[in-house]
Amino acid sequence: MRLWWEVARRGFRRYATYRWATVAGVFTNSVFGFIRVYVYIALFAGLGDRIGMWDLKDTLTYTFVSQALLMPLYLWGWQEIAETVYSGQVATDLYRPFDYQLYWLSQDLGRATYHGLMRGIPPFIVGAIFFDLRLPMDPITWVAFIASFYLAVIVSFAMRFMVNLSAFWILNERGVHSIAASAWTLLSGFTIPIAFYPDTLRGIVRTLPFVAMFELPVEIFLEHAQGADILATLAIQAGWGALLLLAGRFMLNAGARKLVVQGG
Amino acid sequence: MTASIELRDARKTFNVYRRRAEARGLGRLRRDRSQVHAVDGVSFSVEPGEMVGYVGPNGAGKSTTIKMLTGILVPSSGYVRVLDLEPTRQRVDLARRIGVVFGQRTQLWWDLPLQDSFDLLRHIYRVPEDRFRKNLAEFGEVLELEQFIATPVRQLSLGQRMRGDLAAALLHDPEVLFLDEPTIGLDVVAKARIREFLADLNREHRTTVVLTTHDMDDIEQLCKRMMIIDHGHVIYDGDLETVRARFGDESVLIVDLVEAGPPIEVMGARVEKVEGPRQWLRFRRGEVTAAALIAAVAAKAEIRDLELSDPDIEDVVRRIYVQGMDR
Amino acid sequence: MQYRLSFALQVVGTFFLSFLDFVAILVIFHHLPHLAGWSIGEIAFLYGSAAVTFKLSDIFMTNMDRLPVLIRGGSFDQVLTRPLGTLGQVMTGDIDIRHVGSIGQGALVLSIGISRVQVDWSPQKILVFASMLVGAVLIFCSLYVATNAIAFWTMDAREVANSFTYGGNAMTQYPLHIYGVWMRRIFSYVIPLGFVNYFPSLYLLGREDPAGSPHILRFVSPAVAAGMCVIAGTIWRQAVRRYRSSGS
Repeated sequence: MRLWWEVARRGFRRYATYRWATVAGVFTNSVFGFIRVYVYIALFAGLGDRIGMWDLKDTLTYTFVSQALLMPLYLWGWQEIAETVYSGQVATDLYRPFDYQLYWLSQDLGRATYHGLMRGIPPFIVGAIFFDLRLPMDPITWVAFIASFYLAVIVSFAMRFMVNLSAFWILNERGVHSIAASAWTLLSGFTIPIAFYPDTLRGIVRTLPFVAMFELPVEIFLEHAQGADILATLAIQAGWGALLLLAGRFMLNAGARKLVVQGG
Repeated sequence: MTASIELRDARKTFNVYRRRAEARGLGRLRRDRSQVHAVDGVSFSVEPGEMVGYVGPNGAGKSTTIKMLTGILVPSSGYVRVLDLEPTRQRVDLARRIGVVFGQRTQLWWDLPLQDSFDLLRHIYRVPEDRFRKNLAEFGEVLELEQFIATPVRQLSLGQRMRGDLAAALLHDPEVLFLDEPTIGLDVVAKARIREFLADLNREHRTTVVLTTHDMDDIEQLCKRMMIIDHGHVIYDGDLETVRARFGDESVLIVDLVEAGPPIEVMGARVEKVEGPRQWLRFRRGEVTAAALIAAVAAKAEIRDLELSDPDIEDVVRRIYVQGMDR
Repeated sequence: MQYRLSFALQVVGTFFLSFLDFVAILVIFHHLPHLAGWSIGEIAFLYGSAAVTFKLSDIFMTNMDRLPVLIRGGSFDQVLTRPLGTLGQVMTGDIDIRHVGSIGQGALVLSIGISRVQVDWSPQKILVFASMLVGAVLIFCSLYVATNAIAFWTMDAREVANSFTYGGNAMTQYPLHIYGVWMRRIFSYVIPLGFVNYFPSLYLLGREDPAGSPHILRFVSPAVAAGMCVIAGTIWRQAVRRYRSSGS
């Protein structure tokens, strides 16, 4: 247990050294937040009151929360494991005396904590200064949101883990990665809230694991999920996380076997 | 006749920022600024057709000088002219007439076959078709490029790549060739081949060559004139023999004897250190050749293995400072 | 064989990736027939023209991404020893044709938009349309060059460049007047993204600008594009000068 804590800390510190990148990132995240909100303002101006449970304030809040979650969930461009496969480093890594997947997961949780604090909170604050956002008043919401945050990171990690492992079989993991990134960017609720989708489509998308990354944590933050619903939401996230991590382990074993047979 | 290269009191100063590691909190954000005078008042001129060596220890300012001459760096002050052009302002015009080879980096395209790099360069430098063919044939033969001209550059050995780089730098018949550590990392055979090529080039094409190097043997075999730079100053400008005669040119022969024994005494060599069966013998190349020394040692003791350390510019520079120069 | 498969995958991938934003537009129009007074055909027109021109400039500027690698590894020195301009060399270092997939998507949306809008395509309108597209590519390219030149000052802050280029693309997908007053002013007069498609489109689609901008703005996008090129070139030259003075 102590080991995983240390690894997580290392993940945190690794990203903490990129100070200017963080400042640049906060700027970028904020700018995109601004660009996105005005579309929703125009939408609600024409529409009136609500779409389902969402009003304008909800949607503006969602915009900045999703911008804040962007880096912690590392939607685009995380290819570290694939790079170790291509460089051959993975062979050494697999021989280390600790669990490979848990190692990367711990590192990622440390990283996500840093990104959540330094690249997540600041853009949200910028948004809150300029727009009327909804901040949860209930302390339970905050606790639930933090739990939901980490579960979302786990789900995102599990998916990124598997996509990276495709490097064992495919020469250009980038191709697979960009298709996967398109899928989860849209279907997780990042591009536009799943709640805005036409009914049948919404039903289908909500059965997919991707909602566990953005839509569900946002529902908790906006307090659309109350009481028992919160537990149900967290359970769904946890369920998907466990399932995907398990799938990842199968994939890892398959990849490791291929490595032994082919010799890297 | 105007000089090919002329520098008068050229200077290049860099600002170096170092973060204060000891400070706590915000104090760490402030940085100490110090200045490094990489080139501190260098003056010399090189006539057309000369082949000069530009030597010095690491950090002496060799590469910085070359970068100023080729237009990569802008001098902090001073007069710099190559082929009567100012490298800073007339970079593109100058680039057409010079060739540059960096020992540690390649100008060839990494993923493409060597031939493709040559073709690309022909277009970049706008070399007429027939001149390109003639040059390629000539260099190809002397440097023996035929064997690997179709191989991607990333698969070439260091020696092959260096030969490719040399050919590439000369395809457009430059009047001046700058070489920054061209023999670094090469084995003895490769070095000899490169040196032979450069000597021929200078002799037959009258190309002005400026060669920076760490390796005294490069100078010995190629340059009548050498300049020694240290800490941004040119501390010597003349021929190699004078330096040798004045400061000796000491090398060390390391012998591994079959069994440990007392320090070997031979003419012209002094035992510097003994560690079990291994002995370090220091000698002056002007006084006794390595071959003669080895023969003499072999006559006195059974040698299992030996190693000859290259003559070292750091040694010479150190000795220049210690003993002073006759100006 | 594997290489061709992954190539095809990437073309397909970029095709799908570029549909993302448009799905958002479709979802929005599921709820209402007009957004800020613009029909879905008109928005498709805006979106399509922005997408096509941005992706085209993205293809030209592919190698800009490698600028930090060139600088850090010392390869930029090599660029300086060649008898060619530095910007030209960096740009032509690599052209990634896998982005073709997304140009296809942009063109598709644009043609849908064109078919759905009521426009009387006179020769003047065609001229303005063509110059709008050319100008847009130049404006995006200038933005790319100017913002990526930051790599000569600091390696880490490169993401800021993305907020201008990709942010610029995102924001030109919708009519300029939906944005707040200050953003509108900035995007009209400081970072003139409004000229990428919005202002000329007002003329082409026969619309009024609720913000009441001067009528002349609809026709000056070529001049704006030329001006941006000059500014970007100047910034690039300054950046290279700094590199040559401080030795990276």
